[in-house]
Amino acid sequence: MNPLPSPLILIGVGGAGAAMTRGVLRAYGQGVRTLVLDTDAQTGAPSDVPFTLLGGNRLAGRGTGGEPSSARASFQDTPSLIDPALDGVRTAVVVTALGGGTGGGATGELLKRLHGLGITTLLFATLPFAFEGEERMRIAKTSAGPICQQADVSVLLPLDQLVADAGSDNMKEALSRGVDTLASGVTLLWRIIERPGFISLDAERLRAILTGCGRGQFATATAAGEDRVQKVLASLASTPLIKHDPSRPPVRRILVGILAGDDLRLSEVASISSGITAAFGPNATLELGTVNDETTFSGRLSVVMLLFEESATAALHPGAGRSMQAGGGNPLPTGTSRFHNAEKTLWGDEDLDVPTFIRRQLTLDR
Amino acid sequence: MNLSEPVAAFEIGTTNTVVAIGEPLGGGRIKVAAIDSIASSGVRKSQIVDVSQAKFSVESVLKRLADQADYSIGQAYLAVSGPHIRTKIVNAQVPVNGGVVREEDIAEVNERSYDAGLPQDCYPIELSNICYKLDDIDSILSPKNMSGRLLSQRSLCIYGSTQRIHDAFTAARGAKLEIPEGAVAFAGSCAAAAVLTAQNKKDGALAIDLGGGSTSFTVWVNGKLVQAGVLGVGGDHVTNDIHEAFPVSRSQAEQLKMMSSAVISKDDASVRVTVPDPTPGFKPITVSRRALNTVVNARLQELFTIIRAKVDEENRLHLLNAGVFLTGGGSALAGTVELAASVFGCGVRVGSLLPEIEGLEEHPQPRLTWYRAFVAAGLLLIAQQQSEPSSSIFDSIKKIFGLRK
Repeated sequence: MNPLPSPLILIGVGGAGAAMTRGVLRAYGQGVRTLVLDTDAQTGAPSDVPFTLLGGNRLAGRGTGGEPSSARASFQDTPSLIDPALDGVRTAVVVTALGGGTGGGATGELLKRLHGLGITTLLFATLPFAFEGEERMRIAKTSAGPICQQADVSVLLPLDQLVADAGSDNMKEALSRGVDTLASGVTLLWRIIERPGFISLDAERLRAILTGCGRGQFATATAAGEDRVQKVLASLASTPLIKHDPSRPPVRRILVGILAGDDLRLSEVASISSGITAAFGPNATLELGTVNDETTFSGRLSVVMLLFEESATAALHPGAGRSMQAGGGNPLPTGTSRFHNAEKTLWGDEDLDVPTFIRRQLTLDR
Repeated sequence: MNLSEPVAAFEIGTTNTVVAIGEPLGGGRIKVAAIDSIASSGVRKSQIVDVSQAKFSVESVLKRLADQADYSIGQAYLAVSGPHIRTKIVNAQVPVNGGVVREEDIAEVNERSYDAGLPQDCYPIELSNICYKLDDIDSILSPKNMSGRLLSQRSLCIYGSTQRIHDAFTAARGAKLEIPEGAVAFAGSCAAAAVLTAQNKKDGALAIDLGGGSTSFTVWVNGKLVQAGVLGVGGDHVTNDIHEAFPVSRSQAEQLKMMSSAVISKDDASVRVTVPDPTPGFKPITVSRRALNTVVNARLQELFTIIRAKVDEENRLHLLNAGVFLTGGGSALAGTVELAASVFGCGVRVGSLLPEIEGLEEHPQPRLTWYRAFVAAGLLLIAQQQSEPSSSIFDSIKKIFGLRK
């Protein structure tokens, strides 16, 4: 009997999204359910990932030339093109780079489509390096807001923070390192969800945790040796991806995944847990998952961490999404999970299965 | 059906499956001899999504009735709801033989209404005469013995998806419960039958049944059912909204719903509401009452606003002189009446069971189950009135259960 298809999918949008997806596949293996979308046919030339060409008739597979509106129109031409690849999917992790054509133009439409299919979405999107020029950054920031509003959770990662010491790299190397860094983070997240551990954290649990959370940040760290716990905690404390900004709302919820081999000790889990709790205060709720993978992590210890701020009044965006991290907004779930398999209740253009307080953008004084 | 024979009615709702048995008392009255319910499985938005689970629900409640009240039921009337329910205004006409309208002419124009342009593959549930027209004289209430050549009838037809209704048949048959041909009624009409007096219907009333998976409504003017509808939004949506707004499980969201109010007050600002965490050793979860009430208020206000818009589309808001009557589990939520009154701008009350339905109070149920029992109780009353020999037999049997497929 064939196993049921995974309810979790990784979707890469555009050239950088495809590179991140391939990076995850290299690190994780072929067990990841993936899909890559691009307007450039060359992206799909290596047949290692399921590929959907957007705008075949409109752009003839030659890409958008950096024009997001072409990618948006291409997706809108045939929005159901991706549906066959989504059978049974309940959660999608979407990776892309903003500032270019396809990522900036098609990602929002993709998220809309996924939302319409009742699929929960977690978006990781990079913002360009500063050295890529002001115009590219302007395009990226302009498109980021509307795109994030379409996702259940969105994490914006400025590449300058993702690759903090990129000054000595040439542009290609820096971009490659940025892609690899995000891919490794997503891979760790994937392992936490898909692989069994002492403390399980499956896709549904992940979704439940994300629901109701606020703005946040994302970081990973890996270390080996006797003092690996201290090294990991030190690395997390110094990562530029996490800002200890007193003007920002305090962190209310922390999702921590610990990945290690058979040598993982309970005392290490406790130390990481208490170290992180001490760093962010006792009011932050810690959600912990562990993965025991001797083949991949023998002797090593990796930690992936998602931080969520929860403001006293969480302003809610229209559509489905919640946004977190730099320049992000506030959280929003799709809210349709209970009615995922039921016929939608529509009133005009509104999907009444989505909670009213979300659609009305009501402020909740939590 | 013999007057002395008990009648049974059931509803496979999203939240509860209810079975009631009534003993006809004559004079349009019925005694609820037994009633029981069980939490439903396999139902979403009032539609069956898992026949075997729905069958199990029916089986279980029948067994409980048999154990507790020594009733064995082989046949029952079925109340249906869900977003598959639609309505259509149909017009039919017949030539008047002999120049004077006889009862046969009225029966025939009624019969023709069944086939008057309903979509294929639909299951006609209920036909309600709105008015007759004789030649060029419009708005005739009773054309019998009037002179004319062409009799027309304008009716409201309530119909549903044949497949969805057959799913309920299949679940019932699986539980060894037969539904006699034509013994299917619209849940909204059943709820209205349980709480609206003839005078309410004559004065003009809107009955809203706030169910778990869907909300049904009926509009009555001049004693006639003139409008009906179902919205696939119910108490389940309120629970889901709470679940999405706060880091709580569905069962905790259900508990929070019962502590909430549909009206937001100034006093809510600093108050916290607490629900226990089901995991031993974990602290209870507290949420802001103001935030909780905001979530519930938004959903119910939207629901009432949509129904108001639908009634207003037909220009009937000003005809609701008897006001709005709420039934169903949602009517038990605090503040619902006040909120509905602010939306509809007229008198709103939670429906009280008509005196024609006796004995329900003898079967003590938790508060919510009591409200949910109104559909089954109303269906018993309709079934009993149908069984009574009267001059209005065409008005009851033909109009209410006369549509067959």
